[in-house]
Amino acid sequence: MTRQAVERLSRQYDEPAWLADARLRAWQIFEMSPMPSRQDEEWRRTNPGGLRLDELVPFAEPSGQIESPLRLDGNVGGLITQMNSVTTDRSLQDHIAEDGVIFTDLQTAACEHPDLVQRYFMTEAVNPEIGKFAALNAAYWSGGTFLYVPRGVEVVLPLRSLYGLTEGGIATFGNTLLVLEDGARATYIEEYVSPEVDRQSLNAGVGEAYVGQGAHLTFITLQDWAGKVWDVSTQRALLGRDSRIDWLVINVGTGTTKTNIETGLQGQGAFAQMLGIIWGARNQHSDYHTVQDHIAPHTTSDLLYKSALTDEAKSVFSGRIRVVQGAMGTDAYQANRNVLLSEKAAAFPSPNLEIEANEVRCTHGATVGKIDQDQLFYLMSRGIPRDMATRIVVEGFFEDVLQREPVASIRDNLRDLIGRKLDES
Amino acid sequence: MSEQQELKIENLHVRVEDQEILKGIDLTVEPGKVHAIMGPNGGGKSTLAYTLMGHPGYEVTEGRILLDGTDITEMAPDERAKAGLFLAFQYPHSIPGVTMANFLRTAVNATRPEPVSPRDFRKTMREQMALLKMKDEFAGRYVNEGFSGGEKKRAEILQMAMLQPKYAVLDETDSGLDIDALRIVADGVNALLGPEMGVLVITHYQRLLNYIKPDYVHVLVGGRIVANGGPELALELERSGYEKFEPPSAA
Repeated sequence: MTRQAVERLSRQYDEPAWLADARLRAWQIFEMSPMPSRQDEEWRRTNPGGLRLDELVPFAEPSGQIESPLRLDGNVGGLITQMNSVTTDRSLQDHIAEDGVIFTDLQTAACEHPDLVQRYFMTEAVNPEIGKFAALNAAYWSGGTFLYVPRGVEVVLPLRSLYGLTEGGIATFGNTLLVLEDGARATYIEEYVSPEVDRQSLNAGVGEAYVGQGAHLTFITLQDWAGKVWDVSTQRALLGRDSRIDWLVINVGTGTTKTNIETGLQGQGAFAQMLGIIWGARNQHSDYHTVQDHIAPHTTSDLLYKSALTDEAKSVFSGRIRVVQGAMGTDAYQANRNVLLSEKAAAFPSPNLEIEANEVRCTHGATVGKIDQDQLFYLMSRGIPRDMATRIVVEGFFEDVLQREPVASIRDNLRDLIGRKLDES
Repeated sequence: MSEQQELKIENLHVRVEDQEILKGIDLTVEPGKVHAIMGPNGGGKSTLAYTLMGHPGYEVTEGRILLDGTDITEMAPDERAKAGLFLAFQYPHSIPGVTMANFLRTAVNATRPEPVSPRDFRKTMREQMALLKMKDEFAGRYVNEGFSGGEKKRAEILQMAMLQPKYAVLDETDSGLDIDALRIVADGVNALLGPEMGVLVITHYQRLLNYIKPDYVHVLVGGRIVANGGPELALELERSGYEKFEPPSAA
């Protein structure tokens, strides 16, 4: 990873000058910012020293095969597939494109819609200065996803992106930019997936969502990496007046994940529902930092993250509710529930409130518990073997999240995926 | 070489957390018969129920349990259920997020060699629910989650009806029920009685036995069966209480 490599990337894709410059600025930030260490509060429970950044190659050709973990197909409005950060396939139904909707890879969008992309891309929601990995992404990203929904347009069918990583020893830089103008509606589902790889790999991802006044975004982001893959990502959504986001994060596979999921409620009356499902087996380590950032008055956020862990899996949840001065009438709720299926599994929830406004309501709660032996005994007394009883209890544990998940049509796919993962362990 | 058809408890000693609760129980339940076990609180009634079903917290230190000649003392609870044993819980556990219908179908399929078709399953479930005066929507509710006392007990009997065990243990099925609910539950049990099924009714009060008629009554006090008799023994206990069976107190 070098400055020359960044320049080569810009030349290879014949990029406009503003983008090539942005990459080089980001590279400079990357070089200047220190590698995080466990002394940093953000990395207290995930050791960045386990990541061998200097042994990773930032490019790879598409290779191998990937499959949608949700096994979604057919009935979607559009699909972008990329492997090792190279776009291999993209489609958008004509009738959606005719409404002025843009759904393409971010590189193509940067060339075909430079004004739009330049205005939003890594400017406000996530910018390269927030940290070393965001800067690295800004320097090296390729492929990516760009969704633009014009004012008042509703996209009924889900739009999907499939990000694949198929080799050991590489770094990919997934990058998603979603822009919904005022009154627009859309559902976007992204899946990150890899087959087993022989060496450590990294996805350093960035996701940004701009939800305009009265707009409604449903955002599902799913991770199903193999055991040697690291994921260090930041995703942040900015919400306009009276807008809404329903955001479900699912992690059913990783080596080490350290991901920030943040909503900035910038417009009065905005509402954010943030949901999380984490299933950990073997020695998977997932570390989620969430932020419910109440910037405007009379905004509402409701967060529920649940994890079930077996073997030696670890789950860290650091959830922050921030209410800035003047954001009165804020209503924020946060709950983190963890169930442990083995002696060595562990969960570390830490809620965190920063409240600078009056007349607000903020509640939070976190629990960690072992799987209930009496529930297992009850199910087993009906002839259900222990493994199946465990699976039933865990599926039931996640069910309230699924019931709140807004895309009813994929609920069975989610249930099947979770069931498959439970069977594998 | 037909095995003896019976649920046979031989010299059963059970320990819970270093304390011996059952001190040598002998009891045989035959198909087609209803046995009642009565006794004061703390006498070991629920320990017997949980031990029969194989709760891991109850350690059998001596004796054994035979189901139609097969020793089930060391079997896991699910294997006992497959062998034909059923326990109606005094305090059924709730399983959030799991619907009754899903739970019942899983249980029915787990205890049978061939899975039932979804259509046959639904039909049988609806019929049994109607007998227990349960509304259809009950099937879509989460297992025991937010159920009233009466709903929980009806749900237990519904499971018994769906699983059709050879031997059923009813642990304090009357507790927490008003008279109407008690009648519905008892009618449900009586509808299942027949020459094929043996039942062990565990109860503190005689009241339930007005509705589910026992063939035999046993009195369990201090971890031992201290008296055996017919239905008249239950009536006698109702009048005189358990005092005459209690061991002399140290005080």
